[in-house]
Amino acid sequence: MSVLRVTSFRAALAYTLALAAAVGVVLGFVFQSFSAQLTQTQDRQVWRETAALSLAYNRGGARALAQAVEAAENKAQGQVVRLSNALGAHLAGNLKTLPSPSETMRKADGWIEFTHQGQMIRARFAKLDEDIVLLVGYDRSDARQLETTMQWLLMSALAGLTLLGLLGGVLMARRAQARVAVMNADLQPVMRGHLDRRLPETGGDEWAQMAAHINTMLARLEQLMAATKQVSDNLAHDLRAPLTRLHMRLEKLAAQSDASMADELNEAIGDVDRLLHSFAALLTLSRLDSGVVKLARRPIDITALVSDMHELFEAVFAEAHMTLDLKAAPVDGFTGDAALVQQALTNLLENVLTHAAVADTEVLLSVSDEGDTIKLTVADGGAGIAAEHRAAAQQRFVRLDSSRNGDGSGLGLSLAAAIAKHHDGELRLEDNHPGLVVSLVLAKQGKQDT
Amino acid sequence: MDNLHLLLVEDDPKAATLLVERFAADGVHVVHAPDGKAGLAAALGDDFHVLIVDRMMPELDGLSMVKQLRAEGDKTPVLFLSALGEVEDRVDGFDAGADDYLVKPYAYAELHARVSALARRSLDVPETVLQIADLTLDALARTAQRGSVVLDLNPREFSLLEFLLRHQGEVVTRAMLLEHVWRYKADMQTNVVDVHISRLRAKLDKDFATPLLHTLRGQGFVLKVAA
Repeated sequence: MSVLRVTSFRAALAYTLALAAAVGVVLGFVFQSFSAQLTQTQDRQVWRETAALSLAYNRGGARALAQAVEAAENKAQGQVVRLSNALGAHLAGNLKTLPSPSETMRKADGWIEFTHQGQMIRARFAKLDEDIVLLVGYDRSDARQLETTMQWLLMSALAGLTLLGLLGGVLMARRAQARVAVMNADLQPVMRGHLDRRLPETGGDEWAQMAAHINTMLARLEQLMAATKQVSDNLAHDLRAPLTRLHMRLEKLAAQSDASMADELNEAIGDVDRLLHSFAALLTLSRLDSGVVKLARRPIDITALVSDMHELFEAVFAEAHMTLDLKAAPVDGFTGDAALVQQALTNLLENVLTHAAVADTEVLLSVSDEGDTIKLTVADGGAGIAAEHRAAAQQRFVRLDSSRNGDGSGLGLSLAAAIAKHHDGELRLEDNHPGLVVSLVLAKQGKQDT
Repeated sequence: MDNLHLLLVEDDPKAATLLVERFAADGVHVVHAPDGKAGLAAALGDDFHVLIVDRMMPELDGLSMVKQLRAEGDKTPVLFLSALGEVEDRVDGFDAGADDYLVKPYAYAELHARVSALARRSLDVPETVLQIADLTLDALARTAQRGSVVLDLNPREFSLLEFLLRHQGEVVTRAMLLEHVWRYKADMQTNVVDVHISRLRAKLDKDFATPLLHTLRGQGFVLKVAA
């Protein structure tokens, strides 16, 4: 799973972005204050200079003013002074020309800013007399430089913070992901029915707590499953024992009876056998479904097994005036439970014999290698099952057509489906145009139970 | 085989009585032990042809009993009777040292046939040429002939006939044939075996005066010269 999809990473990302926004606002405010403070300090110098020049003019007239202007223009580096008449003609000072109004930025509080000989000048006018206008200003380049440096520093800090946050998020997500991955891996065998497996409860953190809770749940589940197995074992024993006696008594009676009575008794024995067949199928089904039975996979020559099944059943199909064809492709590396696979195939073939026995039709039994899986199919030429009834057909005790032959427990397909599921596969019902194709798709190997 | 001497270890007294009576009617002497401990003592104290052991018993269960018996070096064939018929149960049974496994409820004929087969197996010498009446089968050359007629059998029919010949005179059940001839271990309702038997019979008996392959209703099949 991508780290971007881990919950803790998403949380860390959201947190980092929110924090970055908040810090950004604070830093912006700091920068504004810094910049304003800087400007204010330098502006104050202009006010002082203007006041001094104004004082010089008031005390000593134009002559004193001109001298003061000359002194002022050399007093501080970057300071600009200009004396002009009302028409704007230069009278004195180091600023000989003024930029055109279009190149001048007028600030709301009466300050103007412009560029002069590569310097960024901030200045303000002061009218000393009807015909004497004073302009005092200073070069802001250094301040600007300072502001830029400050800006860069603050941005770097912000970027650093964000990066750190993201890095932390990724690390946290990785950690969480690793813990979850370990848990998921540990739970895989459990999902396949190994209810005795437990999660490690190490670390003493909330993960350990969760693992402990899951373990408690698993222990409870295992207990319940064991109880279920016990019940079904007891049921098996308690029902089978009297049925065995019944079977024996009927046999004994049949052996001692005359022909017509023996026939009746043999019918009764047949009924007992059918009852037991259903009972055995139901028991197997319950055990497979509950996960109590663990699949013992052994290497199986499935091609040979299917060929044997074909050979076994081909004669019976011929008796029913059908042809059982075989298509057995070589298969590599299939492991499974041979008896269960035989049982599933038997159920499918017997289903054809009981429900789809149409004379002069061909039934195809096949096995094919599908890479990681194998596919066993039985395709008949009978009436088939309508698409909407196919899911129901796999359920227990479901008989789709009550008018059909009353034989069969209604467990055949559900048992085959359970056997497929037990082999990490599935049972599929499809249309054979006409007829039904039943496929058992089985995984070649069990998932690693480590 | 005559004069079979069997030990039945079964905790259900009613079932035990029924079995002992049935076997007695067939002239087979069965000693009954009511639990695993008694069964183990009896098995170690006397020579039996076959032990029939119930798996689920109080005190000492069947599995443990057979394990202890095998640990003592006793190799008497054991047939397990069990209500537990799942594959893993059977595997457990064979792992414990059982030679055959029958799930309850079973037909008496099935039990009798299997016990006879086990009893005979303990004396068995593998033969390569099998014979009954005018039928001869060469297991190595994989040929069979009746009188002077060579039978045209496919490989499975040959195996079927070989199995029947190795158990000639004994009742062989459908389940035994499925297990040994087709390696088939599942549960089925269709009488597939009957169809194969009738095909074999068509080749074996049809053109000859004395039939050899007989169907015993409710029991199975037997290869013998009719009495």
